[in-house]
Amino acid sequence: MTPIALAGLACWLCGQAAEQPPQIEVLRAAVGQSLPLLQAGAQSFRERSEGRCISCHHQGLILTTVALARSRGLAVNENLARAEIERVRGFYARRQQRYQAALEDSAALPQADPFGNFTVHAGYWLWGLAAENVAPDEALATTARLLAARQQADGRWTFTDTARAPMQAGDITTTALAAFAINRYGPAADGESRDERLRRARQWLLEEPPQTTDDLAFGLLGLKWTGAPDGDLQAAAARLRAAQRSGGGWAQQANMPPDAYATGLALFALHEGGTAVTDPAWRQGLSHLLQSQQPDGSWFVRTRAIPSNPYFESGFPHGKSQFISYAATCWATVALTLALPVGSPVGRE
Amino acid sequence: MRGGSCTCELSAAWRAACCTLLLAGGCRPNHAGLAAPSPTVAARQPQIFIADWANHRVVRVTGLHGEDWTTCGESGPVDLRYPVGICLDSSGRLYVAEQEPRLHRLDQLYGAGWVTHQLEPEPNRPPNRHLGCWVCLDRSGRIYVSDGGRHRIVRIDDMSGAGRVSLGSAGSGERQFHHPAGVWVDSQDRLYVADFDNFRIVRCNDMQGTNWTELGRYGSGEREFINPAGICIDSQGRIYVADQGNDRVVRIDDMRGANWTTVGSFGIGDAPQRLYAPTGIAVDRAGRIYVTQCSSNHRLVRMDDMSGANWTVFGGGGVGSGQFASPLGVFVRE
Repeated sequence: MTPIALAGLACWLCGQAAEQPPQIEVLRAAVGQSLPLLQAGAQSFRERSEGRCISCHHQGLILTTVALARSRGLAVNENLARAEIERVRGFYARRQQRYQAALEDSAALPQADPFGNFTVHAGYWLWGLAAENVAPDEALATTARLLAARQQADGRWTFTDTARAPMQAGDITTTALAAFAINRYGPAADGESRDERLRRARQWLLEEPPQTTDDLAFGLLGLKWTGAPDGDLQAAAARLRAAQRSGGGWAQQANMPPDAYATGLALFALHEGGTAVTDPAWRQGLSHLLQSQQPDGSWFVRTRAIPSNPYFESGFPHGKSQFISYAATCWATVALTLALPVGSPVGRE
Repeated sequence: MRGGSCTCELSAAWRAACCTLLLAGGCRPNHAGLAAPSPTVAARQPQIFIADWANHRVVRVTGLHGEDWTTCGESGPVDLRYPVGICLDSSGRLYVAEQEPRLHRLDQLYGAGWVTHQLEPEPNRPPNRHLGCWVCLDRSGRIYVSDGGRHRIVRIDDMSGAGRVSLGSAGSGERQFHHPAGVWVDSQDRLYVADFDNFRIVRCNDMQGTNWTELGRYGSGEREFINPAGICIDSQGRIYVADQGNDRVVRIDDMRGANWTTVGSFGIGDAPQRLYAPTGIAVDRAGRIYVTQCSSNHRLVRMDDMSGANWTVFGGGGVGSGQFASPLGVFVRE
């Protein structure tokens, strides 16, 4: 952290002990470091992959992170933000015919989803586009229709690609994001109503036992996004809160140390589930994030995904852990931004 | 692996080219039998068998320059889908376990004596999205398969599936696994398991889990692992682990972690002592260590010992001779 941020953090931690709200300057300083790094990282990823790759690490989470920052009056590079939106829209526009073919004939699905991860990226990216208030268009509607059609008989959405923990590892995450996406962008695919699909997803989420913090957090989000009653939301939030460590952070799994990925995600989910940012446990999580930010503004999280793609340096720090660290930095930035007042003019440029 | 969360358009093109080549090929270029290796070759070099995961084939070579390159599985009589674990029995028959819990046995690489056994004939079983199924044999020829997607080890007496018994359920306690990967049975018929997402290795005496002993926790220091994948034991009883997430090979004398020794650190390419996601591991009688890398390194590494001496690299990404696509299991026959 910078000396200013450190001084501010020390001041805020003193304030936290007295149950004072976090100082806005501390949060602004932290996000002021991380947000430009994230936007630049998305740009360099795009350039260094030479247009070959599009990634849920960058495209899904950065859209939500930027949109939220804008809503809090933080300075956003709008050119880079537009470029990311167009990158996702362009991806789906290029695949519209393939997706339509898969809707008409399931034999065409392998061409539409060659790696078996369509449900994952469609969930993350449509969620990100919704955060950016991107209006539905024909290509996005086709994407959402295919996503709806991929719902399993038991109500879940799943994938067949190799797991890449933690982002692409479990069906609870995939189901929550897919439910959000079809609710926002999708007409019914095959006559089944959207409400009925959401009901089946909600029922599956209620019955599926969570194994990881991703499961706990997206389980709560999924219940919220599928319209579960307050009692179910409170129970899911209580389970997530119970996984918080004494230092304020969350870990990806019970047998791992806490990190910024799990902590930022947990704070976002709790907030969506109704927990106030003034809640003491929520503030402890925020404190964990502020203390673990790297001097360059990022958060480091060690990768544990089985590597599958040609290695390259995307421009974001942390070498082979750059992609999970990027996602962690997004989630941490989201959590810090949530603690800022809506529409704050501070930092607007 | 199957594609990853990065949706790479180049990968798609590469895959398309891959499929075209595979469809055009057969078992190539040699059809040597497993039970009768060339005497001159056998005297010179051990035979190395590799599960070439994304190329849907197994590869046999007799040296680190690709000598006697022989493949099987991408087409022709033997149908392999994402082979993961690989081993041979005392008769020289080859056993291959796939990503999904399907097991094959072959007398010869061109398909003679090909027998398949489906371990889990469940139509609605969720896909195994983790490190797949690994295989080993005990002295009696009983077959052990790690069923990563169901967090258990399955043992069968033979390829008919007779005597099926399983050990483990989801969790991190005793008699529990979290995506178990590599398996090995030592000369005392004790079972060793690389417990991938519990960041530990486990040893027990039998399929009841008797004398359950575990070593490791999440981390990069001594007695710590990040997603250990392959595991094997040398003639002196020392334990070797492909510590996949730490990009290193670990050797220990026992399950207390005595004489903790490592070789390797993260690196792309062929440079000595550099590994990226070491996954399969084997040791020959001379103590030479063989390691596959499932990452974009797509290579097999051999070193004389844990000093990394005579670090020799073979392979590269692709579908042709001398190339691999996410190689996983490796077995050495002498």
